[in-house]
Amino acid sequence: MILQPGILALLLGALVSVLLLAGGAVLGVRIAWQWHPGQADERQLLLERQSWLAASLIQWAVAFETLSLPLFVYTTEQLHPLFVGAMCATGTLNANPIGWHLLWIKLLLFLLGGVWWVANHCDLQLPEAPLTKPKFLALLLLLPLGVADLVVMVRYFAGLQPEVITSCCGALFGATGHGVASELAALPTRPMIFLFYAASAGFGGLLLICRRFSGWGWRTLLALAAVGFGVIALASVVSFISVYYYRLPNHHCPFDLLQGHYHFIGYPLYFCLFGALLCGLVPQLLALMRPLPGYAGRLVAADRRWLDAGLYLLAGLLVLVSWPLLFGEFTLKAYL
Amino acid sequence: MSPLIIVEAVRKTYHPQRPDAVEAVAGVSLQIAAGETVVLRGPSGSGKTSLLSLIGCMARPTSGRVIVAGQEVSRLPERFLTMVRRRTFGFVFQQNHLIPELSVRDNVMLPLYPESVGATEMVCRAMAALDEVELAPLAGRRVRYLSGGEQQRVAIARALVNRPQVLIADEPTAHLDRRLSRELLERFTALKQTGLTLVIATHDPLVCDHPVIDRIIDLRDGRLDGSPAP
Amino acid sequence: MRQLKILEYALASLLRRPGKNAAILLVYTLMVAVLATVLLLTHALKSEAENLLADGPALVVQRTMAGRHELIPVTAADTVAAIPGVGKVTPRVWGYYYDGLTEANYTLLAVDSADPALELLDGRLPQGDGECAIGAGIAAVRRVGLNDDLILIDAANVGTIFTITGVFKSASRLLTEDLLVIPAEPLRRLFGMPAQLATDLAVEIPNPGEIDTVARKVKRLLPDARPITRSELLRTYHAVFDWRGGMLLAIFAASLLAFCILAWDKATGLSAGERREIGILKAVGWDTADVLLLKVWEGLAVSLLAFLLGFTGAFTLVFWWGAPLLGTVLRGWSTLFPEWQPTPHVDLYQIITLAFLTIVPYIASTVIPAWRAAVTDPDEVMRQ
Repeated sequence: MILQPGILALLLGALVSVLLLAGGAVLGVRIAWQWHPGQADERQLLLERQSWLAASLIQWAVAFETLSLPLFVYTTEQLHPLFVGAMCATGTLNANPIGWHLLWIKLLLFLLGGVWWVANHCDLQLPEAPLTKPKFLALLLLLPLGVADLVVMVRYFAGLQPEVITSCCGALFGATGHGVASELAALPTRPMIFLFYAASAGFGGLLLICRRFSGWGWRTLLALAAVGFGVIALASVVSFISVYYYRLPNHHCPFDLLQGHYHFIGYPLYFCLFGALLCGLVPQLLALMRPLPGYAGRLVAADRRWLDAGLYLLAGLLVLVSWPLLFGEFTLKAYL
Repeated sequence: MSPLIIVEAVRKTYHPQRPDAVEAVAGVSLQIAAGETVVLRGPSGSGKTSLLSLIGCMARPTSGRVIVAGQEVSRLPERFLTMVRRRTFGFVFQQNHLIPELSVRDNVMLPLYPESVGATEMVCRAMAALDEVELAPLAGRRVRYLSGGEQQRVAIARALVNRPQVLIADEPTAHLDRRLSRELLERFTALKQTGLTLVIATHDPLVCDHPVIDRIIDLRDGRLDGSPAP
Repeated sequence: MRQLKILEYALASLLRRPGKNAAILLVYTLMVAVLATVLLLTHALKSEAENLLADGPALVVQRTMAGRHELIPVTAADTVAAIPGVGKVTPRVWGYYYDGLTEANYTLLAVDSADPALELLDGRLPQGDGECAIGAGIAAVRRVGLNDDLILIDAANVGTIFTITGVFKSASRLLTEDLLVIPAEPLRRLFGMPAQLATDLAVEIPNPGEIDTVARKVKRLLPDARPITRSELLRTYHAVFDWRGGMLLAIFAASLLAFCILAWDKATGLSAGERREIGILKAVGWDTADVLLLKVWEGLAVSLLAFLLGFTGAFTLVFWWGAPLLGTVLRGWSTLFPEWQPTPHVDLYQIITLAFLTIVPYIASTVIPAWRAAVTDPDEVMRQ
């Protein structure tokens, strides 16, 4: 294995996260099994106190997993000089293809962990903590994901062999290649630009509608729109957003945006993208909690805050995408 | 007008699963009206402190109900119980329980940290509470350098800083001489006139015989027996 | 607002107990400093290697026999020069010389193979037989200087006298510390190297995108040749320094575990005063979440302070004092070691990596003790 400090940090972080998740899950499932909120006996009091510990363990695990996502991407970026043919993180991930699975696992952990965090936070706002059972039972899903993250990470880094020649983004995200990535790069630019802005308008419109109307149906639509928008936005990054930042018509790599010579623009871009996605999902979660006793007045403000955050993040994303299109010196007019 | 505090057949057993389980409160029912000053009287071990804990939302009863300002609190999760306690009750403990390394003002501000109150507002409210107990000039002094009587006044200010509806005092004269005890009772009289409800646990005759007391409730072995004030 | 107020209380609480927190702060700071030193030094070495290699030839062609380096015929230069895309091809004559007197290895280089950008302290490059220019390290270890004589033993075990015509500047010490430059003919005589052979070929390729292609063509045209590209050299240096740095970090895993145990112990071992204080806070209206937040802020404050102090200490140690202890492990060993001042550099990646290696284990070690403190029963306070 390549004994690089970033790799050791990621492995340590993943190990710590799994230990915290395991501790929290074991305790949480036991609490969910014995939870009787109507009772006020010593056992219930003990469970209430232990629920704080379980929640703390999971929250820290989710926090570490969230921070490990950019560290992972940055580490694969830093490792690329070790691999022949690699020019960015894509090359490092291609050097051991299981790395792509690791990336998806981490993204999934980020989203599910974020939803769990919000559910836990909202649950603690309600007098009877009505989500105690479902949120702790949900750890039965989160824990295997955390373990998978650690196992796949070990296998990925252990399987990296610098002497193996890898292919980089030019091959993977080139329009003439094979696979999903190449097909995304090959998507026609003008329709893709329209699709992106149309999806943004739809998503933004639903955010505004949900601010005005409290119906749960709108929130379900918003959650679906968020997922759709996320997919379209990611496809757009490969299709044209990256191209405008690189000023090269055939450079579609989604990872080079994270490099220093592009001013690390990828970090705020992806933060706004995934952040907006999460903000689109949370109101649906809050809508599901409405029938719970004590909801009224306590979580309405939270719902409004998430919608506002979604609007700000969407606006930020649109600024970052539109700036080079409108004010940059590069144009794809001849390619549209 | 409905009573401020309703206690219905509450029981409190400590360590129920263990061989040394103790039933501190064995089926007590009482009501306390707003603005009333009530004494819980009884010897050591009669359950006064435990009943105060249950009334003041410091603990949950093993069985029975406690209703405060129309809200049943006996089944609330700890977090909400704490919030009700903080906003409704002010406690003066037998040992005062001040943090000696902190100043008078910092001790008084402690209950305000979890509240949505700004730092400036915290200081203002702390000073207002200290004004009520005539300790404002000593606001910056460390508590460890105060006399016993002054420390108790700090404890009272801390209990009042959240503008509670009920002041609970557990054996407030236990460590005071007679002069200071009389001063304390004068202070209680002044607070009663502001509409504050007072619940005092004591077996001190000086307190029980004072005119500020509206009602005495006798406790023995975790059970009660009410009797009107002399 | 509540967060900030409790943060303020946490900081005040830490200041009220300086003794208890000083111990953990000291150990924590040392941990951070050691790990940061490894990270900063590794990065500085990699950067230096990158900078040095940037001026070197794009491709070096060596000949191998039985897997070992062999001298290459000078005529191979014509073969390589004929490849499209290749600029100048220079046969280089150089080698190593073991000086029994000082037990040091010198690098001997023919003057026409030398980089003209090398700066002399004073004097000039050698022009004829019996002249040489030396690096500052050789000058120091042999106690010679300009116009002094230096005797080298040739392949026939005969001593040859060289007059020192120049000494290389300290700014180039990383490249020239153990360097000795003499004209090609005397060097060949010294090594006993025939005129038709050279040590290797330095190939200039103007278009960096062509380097790998030219290397493949060289391999096809000269099957016994080993073309080494600049990027391969860089990868090797990266791998070596990463490996050494990672090795050191892995070794420190034991001390990291000990640190976590210490952190747990300190966090669990609440004094009577602390326990009482938490009981009072719970009794006056703080709930478990508030006390947990207090403990989190205390942990984060200690972490951030230790991180800042440790990182600053490491930065000073590496870029001011050259990391005297750990530096030797990472750089390697030699009799003639150049003095080298690493270029100060800090980036966010190092900081996040370091945070993961130090703050994450510390926080994880203190979660359970913090919870134990936070669930203190306020009812117990009433009974005391």
